[in-house]
Amino acid sequence: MHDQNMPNDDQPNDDQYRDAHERLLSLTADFLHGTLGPAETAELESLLVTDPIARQAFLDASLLHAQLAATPVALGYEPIPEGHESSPSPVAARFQLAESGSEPDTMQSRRHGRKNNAALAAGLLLAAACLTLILTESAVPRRAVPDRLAVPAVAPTELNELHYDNRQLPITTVAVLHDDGSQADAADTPATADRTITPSTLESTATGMRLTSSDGADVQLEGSSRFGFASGDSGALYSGSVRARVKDPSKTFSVVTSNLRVVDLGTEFRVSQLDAARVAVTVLDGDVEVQSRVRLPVCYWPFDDRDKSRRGTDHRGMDQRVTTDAMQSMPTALGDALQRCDGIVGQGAVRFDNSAGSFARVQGGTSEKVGLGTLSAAEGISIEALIISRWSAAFLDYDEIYRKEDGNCRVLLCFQNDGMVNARYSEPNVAPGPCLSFGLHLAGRDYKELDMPLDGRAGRPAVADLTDGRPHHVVATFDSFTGRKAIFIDGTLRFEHAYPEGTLIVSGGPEPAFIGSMTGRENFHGVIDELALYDFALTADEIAEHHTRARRGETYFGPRPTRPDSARWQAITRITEGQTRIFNSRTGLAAE
Amino acid sequence: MTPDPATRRSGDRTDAYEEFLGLFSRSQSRVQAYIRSLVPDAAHADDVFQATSLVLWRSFATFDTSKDFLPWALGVARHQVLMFWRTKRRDRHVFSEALIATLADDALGRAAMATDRQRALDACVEGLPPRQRELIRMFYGENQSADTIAASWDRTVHAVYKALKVMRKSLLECVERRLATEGLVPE
Repeated sequence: MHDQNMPNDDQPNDDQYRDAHERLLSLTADFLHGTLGPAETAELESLLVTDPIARQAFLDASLLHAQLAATPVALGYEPIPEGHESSPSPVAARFQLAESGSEPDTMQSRRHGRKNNAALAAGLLLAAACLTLILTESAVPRRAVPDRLAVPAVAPTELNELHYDNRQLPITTVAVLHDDGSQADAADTPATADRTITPSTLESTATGMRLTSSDGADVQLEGSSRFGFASGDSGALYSGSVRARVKDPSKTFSVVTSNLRVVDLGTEFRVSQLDAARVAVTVLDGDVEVQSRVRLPVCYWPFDDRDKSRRGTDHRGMDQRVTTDAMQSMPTALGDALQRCDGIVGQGAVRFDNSAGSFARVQGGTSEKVGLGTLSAAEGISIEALIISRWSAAFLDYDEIYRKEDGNCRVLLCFQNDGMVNARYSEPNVAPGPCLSFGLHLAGRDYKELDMPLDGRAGRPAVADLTDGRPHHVVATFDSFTGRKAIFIDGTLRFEHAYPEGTLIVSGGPEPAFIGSMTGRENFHGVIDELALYDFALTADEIAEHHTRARRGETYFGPRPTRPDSARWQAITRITEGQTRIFNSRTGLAAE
Repeated sequence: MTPDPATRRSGDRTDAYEEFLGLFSRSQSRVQAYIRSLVPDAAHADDVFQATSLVLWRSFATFDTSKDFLPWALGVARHQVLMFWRTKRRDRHVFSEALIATLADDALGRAAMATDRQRALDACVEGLPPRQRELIRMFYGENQSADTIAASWDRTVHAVYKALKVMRKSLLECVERRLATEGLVPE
């Protein structure tokens, strides 16, 4: 690189200058990718310290890298291949606040693709996933870490003041993809060897795809198929056909299709999605069990143990009151400022006063890695609660209903008003202002929030509607089988966004879940009752039914479920070798 | 004590918020570009930008509205960038504090060009072949990792990084050519 202080007779010639410039750009690129080793870091620093022209080139390259995220191509303002782009869909629903009796309004179509500053800013901050290990990471090339950056799974200590913990925590490995040439395209680069896969949706071409699950099952996608590999022992079939063989008799592998699950019993079997509603199950060897989903929550906090409030010990060894969820008997510590109060439904609820001590911290349901744990969800999720909100709706005031902060694989449902500060998370883009936000990390799409504006327009409630001192039924759902992410208020769909079918959630991990708080901050103001978490998307009909029951003072489900060992699936039938049976994947009933 | 805009009376607070929002929205992309050019990790840059936004809002009462908002915002961003790198000093792969400060100062001087460079870049990207545009969409738009793209395209991760490197180099040359044509940088 050119040195301004160098004597003229030592001035580098053009070739030397070009070589030095190439070297600088190469080092800068590695720096941006986070693949720069210590020696190269020192070399780059040496160049930058001594040469202002080198610094200029470095900053130009870095700026270009940053600005690529704000180009129309990156922001999706141009036609892209079908099936890749999300599209907001108008919701033909009626707005009818059950408690206030407001007159209904017809929802209007949402505008899409606004090229406003918020969107540009959002795109800019969505820039380059390559920039991960950089200066703070070791020199280990990123390719050694499948899909995710390995960051120690320790509690966040440097959260920014807006409380987004953007660490990328270690994520579970679910399978090995075998490259036997079956899915090679017209690549001008040699195909790779076997690759490890983290939770993701795979699409095979006509020649299929072959994998081995981390539990040892041979899995073959037959022809053009779409399969969501959610964990080492199960996956979701979205289209096409999958064949599985389990060699180890101590292991199982299951294939999920919406409301149906096929579990091997030491066998080889095939599941084929015939159309939107029917699946065919063929047993090639041994037996399989066909199961339907138990449509009850994974965890459910009725807070009705009001008079049985007992002392417990939290993670710091401090005495705290404890409640338990009704499904898993999972202990949940109640913060000092959290008060028991009369239930919206049942005997009790909890009142939050917006202070740091008003929180409920779930003890359990975590795991060492993202993608695992009782409180993780992959194919679908629902968060349901009855609330009486006293949210201020002031700028930068956040009121959490539920939040599990596993780095950027967080799950949250909360009230927000942060202008454009966090606009990059919004999908679809919405105007700045108070909103009810439902955040999930979606595989291949990063962390996104469905921010429902509380503007009283197009069928959406206004802030005043939800902070009127009355109870409201709030449900947020995401269904990978439809790609729909939605928010329901008082039994009615208010806002939604459509992703490609087969988009998996990446969630779970080492951080505890909080009700009404984010690790002791952003505390709720008001009452929360009947909070329920599901590992599937409730349907609109179910949500309407839950709301009707809640208005009658009943639990969502009729009789209170008290199933500490509740299974998530129940057997429908068993199929033996040589048989093929057809089922309705939504109802679980035979469909021959 | 500095008055906090958030503690003003309701009407004043709304006015201040709207005024802040108007100024902030006009400068936001350049502040973000400035931060990202100095903090390449997307998640870390998010954190620095969020911290900068919060400091700007909380300090807004001290801002003289007769002056230009951008230099003030960039000054706050510079401070936040330096604070961020200071917390990373224990890592042996971090640049020296002196170099980071120099880069932060140099970048301030180049922030004024950010809009022109963005416009030129947009035009250059338009001219890329479909495969490279797809790479931009996946890597920069959807924030997919190189590993994920490699799996999707049946390439090695190395090949994806190389494709990004080559593409950015050609884009950089294209941007320089366009700006030179417009007389915005010396040829």
